[in-house]
Amino acid sequence: MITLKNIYKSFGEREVLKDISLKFTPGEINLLIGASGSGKTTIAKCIVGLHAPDSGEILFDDQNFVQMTFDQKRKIRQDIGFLFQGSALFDSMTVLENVMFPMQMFSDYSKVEMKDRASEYLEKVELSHAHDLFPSELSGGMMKRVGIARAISSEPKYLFCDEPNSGLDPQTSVIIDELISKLTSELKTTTIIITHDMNSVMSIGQNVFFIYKGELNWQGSNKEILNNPSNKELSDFVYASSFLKEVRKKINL
Amino acid sequence: MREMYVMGLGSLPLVSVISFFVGAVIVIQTATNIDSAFIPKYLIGFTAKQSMVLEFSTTVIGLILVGKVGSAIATEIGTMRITEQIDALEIMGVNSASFLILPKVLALVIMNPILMIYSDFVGILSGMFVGELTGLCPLNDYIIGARYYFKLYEVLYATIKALAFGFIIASVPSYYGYYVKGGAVEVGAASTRAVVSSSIMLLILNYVITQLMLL
Ligand SMILES: Nc1ncnc2c1ncn2[C@@H]1O[C@H](COP(=O)(O)OP(=O)(O)OP(=O)(O)O)[C@@H](O)[C@H]1O
Ligand SMILES: [Mg+2]
Repeated sequence: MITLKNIYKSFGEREVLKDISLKFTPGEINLLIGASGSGKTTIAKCIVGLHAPDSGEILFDDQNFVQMTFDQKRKIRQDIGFLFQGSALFDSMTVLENVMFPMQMFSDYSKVEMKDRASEYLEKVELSHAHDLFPSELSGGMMKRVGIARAISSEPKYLFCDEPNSGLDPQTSVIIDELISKLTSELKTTTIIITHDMNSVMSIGQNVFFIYKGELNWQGSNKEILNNPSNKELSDFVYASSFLKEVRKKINL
Repeated sequence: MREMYVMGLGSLPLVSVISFFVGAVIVIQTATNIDSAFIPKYLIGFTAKQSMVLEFSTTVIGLILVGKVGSAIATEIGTMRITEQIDALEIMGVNSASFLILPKVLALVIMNPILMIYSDFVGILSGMFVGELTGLCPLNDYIIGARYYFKLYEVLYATIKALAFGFIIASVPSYYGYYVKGGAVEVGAASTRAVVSSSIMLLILNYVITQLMLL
């Protein structure tokens, strides 16, 4: 279980995170939503230790991650899969090698077992045909899927996906959302998805955390968002598209 | 291994071409400058060997490799930084700095002396051909000159320079790449700064080693 307590983080003069406290629901999908630049990626990177918060606690099952040594962190990181906003696939490796890499670091499988497992994960994301391609030969959607396969290949307890469907067409987005939600229930991971896609919020948003200018502004489920238009920042964010604005006007919400 | 292959073999054509022409030019310049009956012809061979071994194959080749290999290293690691590949390594429990930089340093420290010896040979041989071809220096004289006054200490001096330069060519650009912040523009700028700093450090180190060992 991941718990954040009073996290603050500044880059230079700029205060990016202010007093963030939250608890992700274990074994389910958790969504971090918010406008561009609101600090979503920074939260995720603080949790996994890529940024050090200025103050506050990050607890993995009641152990404070912030104060751990490199080796202790490494142990926790075995349980973390991370899909980066830009996929961050290793350019010099093939798709298969990318997916095998976390296993090389964290497991003692033989080379053959690793290959088999990596193939299995690539099958899960429907990329069996792409084993020997290099990242530069993939489309954006394929990269995300390889990124997901790599993130789950170390069988993580915690899966972070930073904008898994940004830059993808609506259909591919839906496919990726379904894939992540299927993997979450199959592998029983605690999944944290960063997104500003309202489609995702509506389809997989049981637990939503709305970040506004570095603060946790609201949390609840997608159903509550619809029934709770009184929060101005939230409804501005949710009904940002002109299409929704029109619909909203029509039905007098 | 891959790094050694890429950086070593990848630089062979460039090193060959440059060493070949410089060897040839040294012979022509020396020959046309000592147009006197009192100075023996074998000095041409001697000069070519000394210039190649002492300075050209280490310092000049080093500077050229800074431009070729050094900028490539800074760009490669810088790109990995801005595309979050370094973050991805960290998440997977890898110590990204040593994982990325160590193999490059090792590869260049090993490959640079080998390139140096290769460059010596190409340069001295090309001088020999040109001397014979143009009639400026007969083959026999050249060979006598090239073998004249052969000091092991000078080879040691050159090898130490090559080792030190190999270290600089790999480590300084790695550092610049690793600490890039921003986007593609910053990677380009970091690569340029890496080349400038490594060149200057290489030249200073050249002076220091030379003063320590040859004076
Ligand atoms: N390494 C960094 N150094 C300095 N400032 C940073 C750094 N990373 C992020 N920031 C700043 O922190 C703020 C929050 O960035 P963050 O990447 O967390 O936003 P985000 O919510 O993920 O946005 P997006 O939806 O566009 O990805 C931004 O204003 C950004 O400029
Ligand atoms: Mg982000």
